[in-house]
Amino acid sequence: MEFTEDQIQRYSRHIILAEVGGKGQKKLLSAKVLMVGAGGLGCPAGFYLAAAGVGTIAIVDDDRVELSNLQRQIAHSTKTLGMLKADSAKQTFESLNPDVNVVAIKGRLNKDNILDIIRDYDIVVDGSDNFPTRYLVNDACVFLKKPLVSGAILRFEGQVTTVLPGDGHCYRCLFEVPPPPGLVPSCQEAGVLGVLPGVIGSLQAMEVLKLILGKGQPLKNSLLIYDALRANFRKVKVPKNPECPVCSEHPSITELQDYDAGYCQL
Amino acid sequence: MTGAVSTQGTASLKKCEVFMPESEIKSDKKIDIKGLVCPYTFVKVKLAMEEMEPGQVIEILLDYPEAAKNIPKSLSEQGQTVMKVQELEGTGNWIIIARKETD
Ligand SMILES: [Zn+2]
Repeated sequence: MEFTEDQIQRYSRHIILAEVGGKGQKKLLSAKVLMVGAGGLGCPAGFYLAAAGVGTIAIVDDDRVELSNLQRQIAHSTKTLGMLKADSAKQTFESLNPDVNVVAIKGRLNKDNILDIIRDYDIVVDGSDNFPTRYLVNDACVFLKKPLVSGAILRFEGQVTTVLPGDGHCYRCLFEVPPPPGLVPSCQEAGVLGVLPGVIGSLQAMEVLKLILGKGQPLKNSLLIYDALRANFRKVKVPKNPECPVCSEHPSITELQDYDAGYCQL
Repeated sequence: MTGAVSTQGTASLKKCEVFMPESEIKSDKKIDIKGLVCPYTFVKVKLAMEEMEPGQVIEILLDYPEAAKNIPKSLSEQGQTVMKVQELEGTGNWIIIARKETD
């Protein structure tokens, strides 16, 4: 493909980077990224991926925009209240950058549909708000060997990690099974300062761009933890677990499973 | 006296390395980016050089004075060799000649 003059202007700050250039920008334009959730993490992550010119962005979400989302879910607006989040985000991202094709998948991932949904994409971004989805996405990415950039937030702390199946750790190497629903904060307890998902979602977008460009070191075998109140980033090593139930040589989990609901929706 | 001659010799040798006579440099590609300002000047140079092979030479014609300073600097930073930077007297135009060393 050849750039149009508009594209040369739009992506000029990318093109002049040695690590990107016109070639890197073309990689971004032909990349296909699937985002799980258009909530607190998916909004900023998708926003930056769209701005960067990631050519195809799929968004899986079955929720509708509510007023209580708007304190942090910046792809939605007062004007899109009541709209499906996947449609609302599609509208926002495509008006930011018409080069981007946003595929709105208005549904919920489960063990029967996830493999078919993520199969066509290069990278998966998990911005889901619950443990059942988080583990389902991890296992599906391990099975299909899809790079996964996972983010999580609670109150003033956030985490990011990048799973490169076959090459590094997976989410289950870190936390083997989901915590029991009782240990997860109840909805009243689970507040979040609105900027926090902006920080974490942006870090996820950065990981995605690095993977597409093949530059830098991804958060492989490591977990980046951000403590907003202390203004502190900490990177901890996460070795691949040789006994991991899903990504080890002899996995005990060989097919996808749906966990019970009963978790709070953040 | 001897000292003065020696200094002059060094200076002209240095000049030779940076500013080679035009006739000695054969360019593989020429681009005209007159009318463009930064950063589009370097954007166009970079896109043009991505299409070239290492070892090939590009000749850039421009009229934005800032870019006559910035383009050579950026090219050097990104590992390319700047062979010549010259103002074309009385035209307000500049020529930069550079060799691609790396992708
Ligand atoms: Zn694992």
